[in-house]
Amino acid sequence: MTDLFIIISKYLFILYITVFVFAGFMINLSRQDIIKINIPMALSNQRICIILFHITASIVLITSSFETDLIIYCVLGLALIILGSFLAIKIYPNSSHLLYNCIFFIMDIGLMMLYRLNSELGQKQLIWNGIGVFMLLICPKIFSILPRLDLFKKVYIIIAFALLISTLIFGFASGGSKNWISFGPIGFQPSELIKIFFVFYLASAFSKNTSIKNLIKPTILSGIVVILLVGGQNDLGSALIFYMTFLVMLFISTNNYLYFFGGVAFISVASNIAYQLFSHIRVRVEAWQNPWLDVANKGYQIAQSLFAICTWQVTGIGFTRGYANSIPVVERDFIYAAICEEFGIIFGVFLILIFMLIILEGSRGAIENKNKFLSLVCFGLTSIIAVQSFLIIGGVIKFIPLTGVTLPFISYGGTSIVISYILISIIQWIKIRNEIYSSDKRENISKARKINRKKERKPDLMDRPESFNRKRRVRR
Amino acid sequence: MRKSIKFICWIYLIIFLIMIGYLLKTYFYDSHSFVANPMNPRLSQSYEGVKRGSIYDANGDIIAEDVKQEDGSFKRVYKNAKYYSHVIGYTVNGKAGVEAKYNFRLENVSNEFFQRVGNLFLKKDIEGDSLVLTIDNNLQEIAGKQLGKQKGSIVALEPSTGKVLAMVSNPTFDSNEVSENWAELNSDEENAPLLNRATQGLYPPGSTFKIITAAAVLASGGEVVDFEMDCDGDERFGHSVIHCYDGKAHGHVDLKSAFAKSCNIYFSEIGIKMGAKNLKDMAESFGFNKNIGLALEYSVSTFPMSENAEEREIVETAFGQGRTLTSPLFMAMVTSAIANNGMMMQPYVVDHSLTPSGGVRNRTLPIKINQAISPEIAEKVKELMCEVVNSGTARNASFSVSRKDDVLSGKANSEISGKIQVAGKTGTAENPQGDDHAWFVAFAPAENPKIAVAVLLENAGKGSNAIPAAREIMKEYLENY
Repeated sequence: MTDLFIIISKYLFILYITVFVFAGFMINLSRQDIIKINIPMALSNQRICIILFHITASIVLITSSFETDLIIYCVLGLALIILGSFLAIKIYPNSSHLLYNCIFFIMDIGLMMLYRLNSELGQKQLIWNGIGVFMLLICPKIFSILPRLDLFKKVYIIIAFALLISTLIFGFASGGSKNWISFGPIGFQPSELIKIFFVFYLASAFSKNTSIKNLIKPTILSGIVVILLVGGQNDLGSALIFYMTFLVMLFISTNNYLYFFGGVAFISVASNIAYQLFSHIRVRVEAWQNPWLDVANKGYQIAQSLFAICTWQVTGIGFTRGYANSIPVVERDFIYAAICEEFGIIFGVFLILIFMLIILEGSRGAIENKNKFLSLVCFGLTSIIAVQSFLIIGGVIKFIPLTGVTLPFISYGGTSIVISYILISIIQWIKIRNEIYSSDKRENISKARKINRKKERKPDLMDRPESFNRKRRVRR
Repeated sequence: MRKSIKFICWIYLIIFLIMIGYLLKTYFYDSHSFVANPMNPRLSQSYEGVKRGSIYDANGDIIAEDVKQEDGSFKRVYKNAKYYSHVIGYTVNGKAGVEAKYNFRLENVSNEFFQRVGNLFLKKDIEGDSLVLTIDNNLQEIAGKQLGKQKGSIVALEPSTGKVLAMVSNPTFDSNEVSENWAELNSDEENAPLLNRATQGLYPPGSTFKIITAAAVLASGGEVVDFEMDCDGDERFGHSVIHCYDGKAHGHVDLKSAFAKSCNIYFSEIGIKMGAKNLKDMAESFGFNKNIGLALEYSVSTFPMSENAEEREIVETAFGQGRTLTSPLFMAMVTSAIANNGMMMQPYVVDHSLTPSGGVRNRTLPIKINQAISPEIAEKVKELMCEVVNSGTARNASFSVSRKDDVLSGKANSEISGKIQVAGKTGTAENPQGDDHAWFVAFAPAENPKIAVAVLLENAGKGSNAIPAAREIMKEYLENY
């Protein structure tokens, strides 16, 4: 009977995620006025999909192992999703509800998968998610009472370097990279927090003057950050994320294609040199090129991952029935392979599409904003999520060499989860500031116009950097 | 700035789409080459309460099936176990044979939803997929009987596809009683009953290797093809003396008569004349030192002679002694390649899977390994091999197929009747373990080959002793073709 339900659930899971992603892209098309749909309706359909996913997965878990802990876990998880999304849209009606839906869905996929892989880690992850959702709800409020954030570029870079150097001194290694600091029993990954300061620093540096002279300093400082990550912490994945974020922010603030393609060319050459110089990089690249030469050792991880993804039919083997525990660090780096194995490769493809929806939402926030600083922050943070999810999914499916980073909202890891929520909350904050351009509430557009008029009467300093510059010039 | 953001956003989306494309390509196209890797723990899956798939021969006769016990559990029961044990293997004490290599398919529950519903409401068993082998029950039994108590192995292939039609190895064991006899089966080093001699046994090829030497000579072109000499029965090469079998003098010989009479001295001479490189290239072209891609456990046939080997080693290698080692299956593949215009086919034992509702899945398609020699040279070697049967060492290999009734009623293939031209080669392999091993490889009918056979009888003396077994198998097969 349990088996029969697991088989039925395979198709249900695919149905839920298909409806979810379909609604997501429909909303996007509708905003472009290509088609007309009822956006609030589509959003609530998505929420229903998330809740049904949670309930279906909970039933599968509970029927295969009936434990009190598990029932509490499932109920708390459900409460977190319902309460979290309810409060989020109540407190921030002008935020991107689609973005909230996306992260609540992938968060729940991660929660369910983690409990099945390792119930202890699942329980911890639930707590981290609770903290994360709390951050998601309060951060935009906090940010809106903060002063002008583009004035503190020195503070950002000093904090970033302080964190980076303290990791070098006090840090310890876990899983190959020396990027952990411990506070008593709790491990903490400063490189996750540095991401936010790094983006804020670059945004404040690039939002002013983008003459070559002004670009040199941030470029050198970013270079040092990346080198410290690679050389000091052996954290190749984070280094790549920082480098790409820097490059993208440099490019969008200057609109200079030469910088972008030059930067891409530079990283290609640098990777090639690194490949020649460092044996541990060579080992990774060789494991990527042909894991089948040495399946027992070097190619073991990637081979086990591909076995998990490719052995079963397109609908997967069924939730709880996989062999994912044969993959090393499946709860962190390789959770995507476990999802593909048990929910099916179709589900895996749709999961990538959800990440694409998140990127679209983040980019939209950046495009719609008139303020250069906020645009840069918004797109910088979006880039972090994009590059990070690309690196790890690409690594797990052998599209690119593996660099051990977490899959945002899904992989186990306290720091990663909480910081990911903060990233999203900042993107939402920027979207809220900009709500007139957001069209999720198309029927409320007149109301939104009214709000906008109010805003025009009481202008926000942040939206007028030019006037501020003028004042400064006068002062000089 | 907006334009740049849009540009980067598009780049992200396109890269993600390419990644999805790569994932799907890996899943749909590349995965076939790696999911069967023994490091994949999913291959050894087994589900409680699932009836493991049955195994059928090519005609649909049951060879292995799960039988329900009184307590509701299943017990694996094998029919004709002593002839099939090496191919089928067993499911206890670590699996072996087809049971091990095709475990995934045998345990794979097709249309699981409907089977589970059927189980719930109609109490039907939940079944894994069944396998249909390429092996012909009839032929397998005859091959087994031909071996009798004799240690050795017989392999029969379909030359055009690589289908294994029969594969037996002696001494054998009973798949039904592996668990009970486990200690005994493993400790019997002298007989090694668990060893599949057909695929894992490595023997010196003896004079059957002259097929490859002759192919190398014909392929090298030049004067060596027309080489003629007088054979006195023994000849000195450097410090060693080479004998023909029993020191028999063959008189004046050319390639054709030397091949037919299996003159070692002639082949030693042409081996030296054409050189080690030609010989090694040809051996490797036939697939020595390479994996053959069989799904069962097998040993790679080895040809260790290097390009700059000494004269003594070239001489010995050229007529099939030296350090060369081959399995009976591999010699059957070499013979098949001659029959199949020089094309080596990958051997396979499982033709397709059957779902419980009768659907055909995973049909094995013949795979070409390598064009070992050109069709013209294959034709010439075939002529040499016909001469062996017509006037040489294998004269008792020829037979006639008579089945007037079937031909008249249109039931049988009228092409194959009357006297059948067999092409073959005998071999007598000296070995350090004792008496010579007897080899015979052959295919028939020569003009339109349907079956290729390799027979190896351990310590059974001269090669012609292996001829009757091969003849009976070919006759049986062609009579029922």
